[in-house]
Amino acid sequence: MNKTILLVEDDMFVRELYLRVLAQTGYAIVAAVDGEDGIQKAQQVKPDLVLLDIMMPKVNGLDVLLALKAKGETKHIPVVLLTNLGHAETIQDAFAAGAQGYLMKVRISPYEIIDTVEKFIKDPTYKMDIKQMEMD
Amino acid sequence: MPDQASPTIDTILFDFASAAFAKVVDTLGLRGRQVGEPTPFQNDQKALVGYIHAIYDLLFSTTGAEATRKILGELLQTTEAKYQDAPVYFEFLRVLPIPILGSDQVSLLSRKTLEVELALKTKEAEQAQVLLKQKEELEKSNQQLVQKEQELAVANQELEKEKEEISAEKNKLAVILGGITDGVIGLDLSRRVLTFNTAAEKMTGLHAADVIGKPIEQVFRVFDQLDELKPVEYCPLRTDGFEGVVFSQQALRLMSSNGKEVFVNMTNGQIKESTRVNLGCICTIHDVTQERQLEEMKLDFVSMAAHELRTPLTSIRGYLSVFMQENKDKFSTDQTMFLNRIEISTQQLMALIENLLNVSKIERGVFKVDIAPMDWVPFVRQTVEDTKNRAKERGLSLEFVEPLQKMPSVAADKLRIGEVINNLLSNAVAYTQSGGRIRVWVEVIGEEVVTYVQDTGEGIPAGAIPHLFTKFFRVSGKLEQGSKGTGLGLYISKKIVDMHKGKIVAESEVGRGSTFSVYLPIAKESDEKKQENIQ
Repeated sequence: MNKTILLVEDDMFVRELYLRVLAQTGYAIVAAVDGEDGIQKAQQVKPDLVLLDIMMPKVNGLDVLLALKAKGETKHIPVVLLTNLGHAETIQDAFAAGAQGYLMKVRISPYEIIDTVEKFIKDPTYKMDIKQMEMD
Repeated sequence: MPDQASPTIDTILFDFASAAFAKVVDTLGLRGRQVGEPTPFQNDQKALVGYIHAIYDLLFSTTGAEATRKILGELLQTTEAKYQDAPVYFEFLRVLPIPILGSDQVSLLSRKTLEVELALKTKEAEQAQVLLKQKEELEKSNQQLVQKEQELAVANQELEKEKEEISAEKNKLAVILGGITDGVIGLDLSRRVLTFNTAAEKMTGLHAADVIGKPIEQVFRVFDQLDELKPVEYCPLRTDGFEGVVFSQQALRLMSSNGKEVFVNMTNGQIKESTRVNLGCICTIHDVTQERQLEEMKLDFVSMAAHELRTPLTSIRGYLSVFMQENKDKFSTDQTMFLNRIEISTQQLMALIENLLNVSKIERGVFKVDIAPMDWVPFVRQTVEDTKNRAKERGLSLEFVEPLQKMPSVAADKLRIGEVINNLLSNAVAYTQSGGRIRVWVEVIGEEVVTYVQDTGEGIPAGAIPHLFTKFFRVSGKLEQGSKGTGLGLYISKKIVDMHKGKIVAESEVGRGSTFSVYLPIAKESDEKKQENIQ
């Protein structure tokens, strides 16, 4: 069965860039344009991985994460924070709430996201070590 | 007998007529009787006067003028003696045939007539006086009217002025309302929109012209979390003459009729004169969308600023990287060089942002190191390894000299100290001529592990060395090759090393090269335990 990745990203430029690069994985990629849309699409498509931005209008990434983790059907989907927010407390809160990965967009090349996606598709229980990450 | 005190003219006339009849009969005998005996004509003065004149005529025609005058003159003497004091006596004289009057009677008569005329004149004068007075009074009231008119004109002018002032005040209010950054919406008693200021337009994305007159629930809907608040709840229209805030709640979600959503703090008030002026409720809405995001994440300004700077940079770097990847075989040498320079510059921009962020953290005292024992040699070896490609690109040899003895662990924050070593390596690569050599090695001196980064570069003038670790200090040199440093790397490096209770030292000789030494304390047993406790 083909895997589905949900990309929740409000910035159109970044969203379209990542969609294009992620298409190379061969997985089905679904995009959501803000937090509210993200929650809705996650419930609709039940993706195998969520790439989640944090600073978004309407509903921010943290609230999306909480909403996904609060529902049985979306609870087990691994969530990777894909954001430019480097605020350590926020990231720690997100990990405490069940986020399993964190990538700072500006620091990585879009192709590096593919590596992370593959890692989580292979092992949905994989968890990145936030101690190894540089934060603000 | 007539009353002596106030005989009427009739009494006198009758008296005289009776006496004259007796005299005529006496003088003319039977002939005299033909005039007939006078009767007391009640209130018929004219008949009596006529009778008297008839007797006179009879006497005149029979006895002549002289005798008639004599006969009737004597009668008049008698009557006068009897009635001369009566106020109406002269009236009596006036109606008698003039020839019978004596000079006394004539003078009395004319005197009395004059008196009457005078009295009349006096009366006229008095009346004229009254008229004059009335005229004066009229003129006076006319003047008062004129004055009143003038006063009214002044009052009217004042009213006009007030009207202008009210109009100006109204304009002023409109400008003030338009200038307020909070949305201000006036509702009438049926909760229809009366006013809708500029800020309200901006927040809701609606135009005042489209919403004025509409019921508020058709303009926007208000939600508290998921519960919808109805206008009757947030605009309750109290009827007890209350003045003040009738509703106030934070973080409400406003959904405009066009679908736009905004988070607001809403404070609604009412004035005492509400019912009189048909003003139901004044809604003030303060946009907290942005604040709410910040509040929710408890982000500081620097985190926010860094996020905002990184967002466009992500697109630049991302698109550049994909563009270069997808077209790598199509570029000319020049194009490749240009694109590489763009990429290097974006990296520098990114490094600048990260460094500024670090400086800000250092200065705010929130820059923290998480110190734990770490195996130092493999870490340095790996860091050198990661830089080898860059050195190679620039025609430099980069080498980690393996220590001969086993090295102890150091107490350090792996992430932070990695920044320091990377920074020293980057500087060595940037400031060393092609063909140059960079060597890295470690040794133990006392209680510290010292890490050396040595290059064969241009070197640093002696005068510059004391300033190397200050903010924004940069040594200008021809070897920079357009790669502009931020002047922050060594400043941050020194701060990081200081926080490890270590030190960083620079030695250099112009033309021969530079050596940077980083001293870090050897990890102690207690550090190990501390680390275990954390885990």
